[in-house]
Amino acid sequence: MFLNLQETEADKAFREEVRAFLSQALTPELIQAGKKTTSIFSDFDASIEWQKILYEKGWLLSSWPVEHGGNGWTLAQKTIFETECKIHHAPALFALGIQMLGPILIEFGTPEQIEKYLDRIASTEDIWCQGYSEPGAGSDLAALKTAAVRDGDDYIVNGTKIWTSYAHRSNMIFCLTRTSNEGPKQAGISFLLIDMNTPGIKVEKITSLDGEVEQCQVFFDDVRVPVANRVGEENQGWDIAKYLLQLERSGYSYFNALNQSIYKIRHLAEKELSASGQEMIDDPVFATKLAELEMEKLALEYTEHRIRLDEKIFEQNPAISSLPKIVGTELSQKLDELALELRNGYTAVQQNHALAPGYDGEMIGDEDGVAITNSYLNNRASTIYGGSVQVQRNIIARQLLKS
Amino acid sequence: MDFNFTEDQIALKDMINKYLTDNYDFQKRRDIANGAQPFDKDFWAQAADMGWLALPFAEDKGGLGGNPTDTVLFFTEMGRALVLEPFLETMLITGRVLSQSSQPYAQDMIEQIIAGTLQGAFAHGEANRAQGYDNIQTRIQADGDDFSVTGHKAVVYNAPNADFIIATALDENNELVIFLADKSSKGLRLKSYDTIDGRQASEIHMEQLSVTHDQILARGNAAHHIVQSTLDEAVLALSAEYLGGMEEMLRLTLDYCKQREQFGQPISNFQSLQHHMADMFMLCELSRSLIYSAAIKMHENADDARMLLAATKVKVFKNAKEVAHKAVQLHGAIATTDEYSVGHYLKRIVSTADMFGSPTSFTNLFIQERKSA
Repeated sequence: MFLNLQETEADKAFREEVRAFLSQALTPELIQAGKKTTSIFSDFDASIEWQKILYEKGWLLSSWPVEHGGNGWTLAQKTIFETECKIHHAPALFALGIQMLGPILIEFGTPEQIEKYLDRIASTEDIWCQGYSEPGAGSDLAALKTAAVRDGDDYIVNGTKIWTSYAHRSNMIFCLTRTSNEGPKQAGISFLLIDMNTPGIKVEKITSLDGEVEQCQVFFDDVRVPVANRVGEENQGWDIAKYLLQLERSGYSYFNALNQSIYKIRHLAEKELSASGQEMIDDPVFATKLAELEMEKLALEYTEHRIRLDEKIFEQNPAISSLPKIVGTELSQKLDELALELRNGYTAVQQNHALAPGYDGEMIGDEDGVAITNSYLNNRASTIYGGSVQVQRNIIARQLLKS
Repeated sequence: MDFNFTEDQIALKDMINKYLTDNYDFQKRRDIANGAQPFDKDFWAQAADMGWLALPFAEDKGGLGGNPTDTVLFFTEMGRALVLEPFLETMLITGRVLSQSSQPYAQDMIEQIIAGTLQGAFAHGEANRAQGYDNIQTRIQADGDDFSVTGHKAVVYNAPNADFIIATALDENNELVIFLADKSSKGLRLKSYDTIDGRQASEIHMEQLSVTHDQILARGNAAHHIVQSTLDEAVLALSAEYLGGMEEMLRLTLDYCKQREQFGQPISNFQSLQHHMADMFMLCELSRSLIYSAAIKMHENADDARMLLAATKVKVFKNAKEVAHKAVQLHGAIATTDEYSVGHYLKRIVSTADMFGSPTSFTNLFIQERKSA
């Protein structure tokens, strides 16, 4: 094994540049939005504002190829930027368009689609939501039924999508739709781009356990979609979805978010006192629980480094691709549970209004802990969405038993 | 940070793996464990011939100059085959102590270790307190021109068969002293026994054991540094052993579940069992990440090296035990027998839980290191 842990001089200079930019570009409102984030999404308006700032700076598109507007950052630069954003409490981006649709259009889109949509994704002119899950198609996504039937130059779409994050704030949706019932169910799916203002679309908001609205159900009633809005060939939709999944698995890591969660817990544990009057961070029982979780985090963090740095790892060890999602989400839930122990009874308080970025009124309990209950409740979803941890375990077992 | 082994390292790993696959299968191991001899002397001689015993020693001491990642690689293979021979005690621990001593005869002993003609044991952990690097109550006192040692060392692996014993004690100023203890002295009594992992160990009682100036290997800060750096690497080696064991237990479990039929089908078809297999795999990979990164950080002398090592000691032990429990459960009754290998991995893990320090003491080390980070 090679032993090079030192940052290069160029990376060090880049980190300084990022820090300087962040301390100037992040307004107090944006930092508040970052700090009060209770899910994978931050306050929606703050996210959009932050995306515009990064777009102007040219730092938004680190995962796109340079010829399509990507900024050409190295892996090390991307990691530095992500880490510094977390440290400086930047809001999370609402990045379905950037992270999901952009790479799909670049790989499968026509020149016209690329020309028409790509820059509007980055600039926030279009806000995209993702129409995958349906009431009858969750873990078994390929069972989806929303039908797209050819009628001249259009498809006519009927059906419903659910758990569509921020559909109520989006003007565009990319959808997996059923275009054939022949053969295996995966072989009859097509990928469509749909304008949310098309007649026949209705959006219903869903209130989550934390009392907030992030999710929606979208209904399609004879919605006309031009055939020109299909990405890839007819019935190629499943391949596109799988391509994206692979991209996500190699690019996404959990350790930055977990570090931030640990940072918040440690910060609060230095203020809250135990029954015997010592800081919670020095309470041996609490300290042991936290140490256990921090050790687990380190194991995941270095696994994620292995995945990032070893180009052949999926080829040699395909089962490892589902590991970060399982361990990352389960660990994030354990940290959320531990954080509840620092609320000294204030877990009970409903104060969603205090989580709005501009709020500067009274808060019940320590203000640094005001988001803890909501985070805990919201994060129960993390082991369910994007392929539940049980489905992920099935995938690992299938890989292991193959050989 | 690069987690890939070099080509030389892969060649070495393949060579060791092939040798052990061909010459040290589980039946052979069982015969050694149940036989009259504590371990296989022919195998030890061959290991010396193949240069294995030279691995961790610096090149100017006649060794191959191995670094912590070589240690990981070597002991992963030892753990995979559940090798009984005292590589950890001899070439790694007592070998490392000797190579940092300024006594002129130390080099001669190192050469004999590399040649396979000398074996050691390290008497450090004690009976009256939880094991840890610093929990020493054995006393060494000036006694005329020499010294006198009194104390009780616990579960000293390989002591019954070792040619020499290196022990530790505190002097009048509570400074650490490392010395050679003469097995034939009348002040030293061994209470020897078999261990559940197929080896032998001793309680070592020292009562006014006479030690000469020549027998002192190091003292004070130097001694403290030697013990810490040596045991840090031993912790890494033991964790690597667990990793090899975990990989093998997972392989055996997958094979077994594919072949074993119940309810008219291979039991690998059952989802409840598949999820345990997935968990075994993840525990194995998470452990590997900790061990590799701790090895890299130790080699780099990074500030957070000991924090990662503490996490490695605690988590890899815990993960290995869990993998072993799942392996036994998925195999069913056969794995509860002495004739099947899986239970012996479990016994090696459990018997070495407190070796070099308990999970609790390493959790405390982690908390302390994390705080000062």
